[in-house]
Amino acid sequence: MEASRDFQVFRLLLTRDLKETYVNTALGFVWALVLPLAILAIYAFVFTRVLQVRFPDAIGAGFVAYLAIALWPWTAFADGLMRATSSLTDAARLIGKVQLPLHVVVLSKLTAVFLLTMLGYGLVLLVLSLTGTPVSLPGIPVALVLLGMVFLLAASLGLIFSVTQVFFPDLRHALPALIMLGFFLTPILYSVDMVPDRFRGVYQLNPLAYLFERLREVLLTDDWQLVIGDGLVALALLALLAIAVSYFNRLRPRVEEFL
Amino acid sequence: MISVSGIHKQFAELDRGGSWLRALVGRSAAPGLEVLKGVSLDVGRGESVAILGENGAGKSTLLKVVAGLLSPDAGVVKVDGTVGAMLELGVGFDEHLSGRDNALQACQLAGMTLAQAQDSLAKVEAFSELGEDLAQPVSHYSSGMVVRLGFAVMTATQPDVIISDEVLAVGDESFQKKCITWVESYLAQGGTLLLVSHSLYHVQRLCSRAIWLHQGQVRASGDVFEVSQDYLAYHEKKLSQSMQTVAGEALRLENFTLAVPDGDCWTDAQLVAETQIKGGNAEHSLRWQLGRLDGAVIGSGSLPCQDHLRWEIQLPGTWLPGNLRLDAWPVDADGERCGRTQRRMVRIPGRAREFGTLRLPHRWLGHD
Repeated sequence: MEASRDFQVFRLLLTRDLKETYVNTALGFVWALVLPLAILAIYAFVFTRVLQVRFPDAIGAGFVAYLAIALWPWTAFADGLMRATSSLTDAARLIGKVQLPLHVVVLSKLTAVFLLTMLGYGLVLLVLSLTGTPVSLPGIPVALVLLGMVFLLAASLGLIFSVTQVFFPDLRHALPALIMLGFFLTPILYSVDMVPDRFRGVYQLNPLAYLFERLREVLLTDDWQLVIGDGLVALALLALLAIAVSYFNRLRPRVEEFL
Repeated sequence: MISVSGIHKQFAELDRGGSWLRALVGRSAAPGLEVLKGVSLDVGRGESVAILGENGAGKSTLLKVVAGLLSPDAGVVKVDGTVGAMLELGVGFDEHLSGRDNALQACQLAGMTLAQAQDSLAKVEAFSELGEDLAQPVSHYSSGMVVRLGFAVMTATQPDVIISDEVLAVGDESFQKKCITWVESYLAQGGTLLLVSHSLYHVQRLCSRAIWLHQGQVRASGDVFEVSQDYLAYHEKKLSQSMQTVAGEALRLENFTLAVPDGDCWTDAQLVAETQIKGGNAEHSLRWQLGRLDGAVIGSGSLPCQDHLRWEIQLPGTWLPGNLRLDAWPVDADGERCGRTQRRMVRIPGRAREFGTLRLPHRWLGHD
């Protein structure tokens, strides 16, 4: 009963969100697809033509493919986290009048962003393979598992941040800076191999570093199998989710007072 | 149906960091405004209960707790069945969506599937009488139109319990009547209602029981007529207290007593009052005034001063239940007050659907 209502509310909020953000705007899906493509083009131009970054050829694909594989999951993660964080404060009017499962409010926002970004991701992979970059087909299901883990991380952080923002509205201003920091601390514009050895231990504590490198591996090389490391990271992420859920539930009873 | 016991609710102070920390370490009560102090309430299936109380007594907070929109600090809330909550204006509408889309969304949030929601759209259209305006975004609506839409959605969802906060008082005359008629038929079909309203007319018409919340606690609970009468008396008294003036104390009325008739709804009754005036002479007289607690005067008179006064006031006709006051004070030869007013309360027991002090006989007149 409870779970089925949660699911119904989830579906309702999700479709509403997709409609509101993209169907009701003048250019619709253009924003979801063209904008990240344009960003990819600009990055490619700046890094290959202006800065002329020397990239290790270990993986054998071009820089653009290398960048694209990590950029879309990052966009999903970053945008999703931003939207999820403000989801409770954004829905304050609704929450005060209708009884809503609050975690569903957070997760539906995140899911909407992920779905749309992944649509763009699929398109980019298609464009890549048409323009001569071999995208590993058997790697795609494994990539989906890895993307699911990215979602898991975003969901945990989203639950924590959204309820924290209710108490500390300043988070709204701090978050873009944090996300910018994350962008450069995650191997998106470069690879983990380029990080100096003495920092690498600390650097790899970032689960996204692991996941993005793995995505490049499964999609651009022939090594598409799941490995033990994936399972360990998944376990760690599940533990984080458990912490996030208990944090969320602790603060939940006071949320309405501060909205 | 609704079972609420020992509800405490304290609103945390605006110290967000402190509340965050307290919630985190599992301590519930942050120092702040204590709105509900141990409120218990039971509403059975098919019952209709009103919550009365001054502004700030905790009525809306109690409704929000029952509707599951606020978590209590202590106490248990149990509600069996679906709840339709109409709190203040709007029912959680999205300003940017059209009235129709909002109705669909609200129906689905109330537990309908999309198909069911679409089916009930016709009902919403019929009840709200909004017609073409349903295609407009809700941000263009007047507050009356928002209430129409909200109420229409509620009629379409047919919840097991309706929780309503001052909603019936909004909307124009004809829509109000439509809503009340609907609520009456809803109650007749076994629906349950929990109503907050300052309109005693609505309260007495729709509810059989009432609870008077006073400063976060239940002050009285029981039959709607008795509770609302006590509540009204409290207000009239409060008003008159704030208006009372202080006078000189040259003469004193002592041993002021009052005998009242027995029974409910007095018909052709007499009040017999008795008093002594200390320090008066033949130039002084006693003035009396019978009035309502809000200050309105029903009748008055004066009697020449004697050492020991016993007088009678006739109350012709039928007097409706309520609380009256009998004031008496000494005046001098010029009619100026020369002593403190003494007051005795007159309570007419019983129950009646009419409002006012007296029952005025009335009937149709035929053609010749």
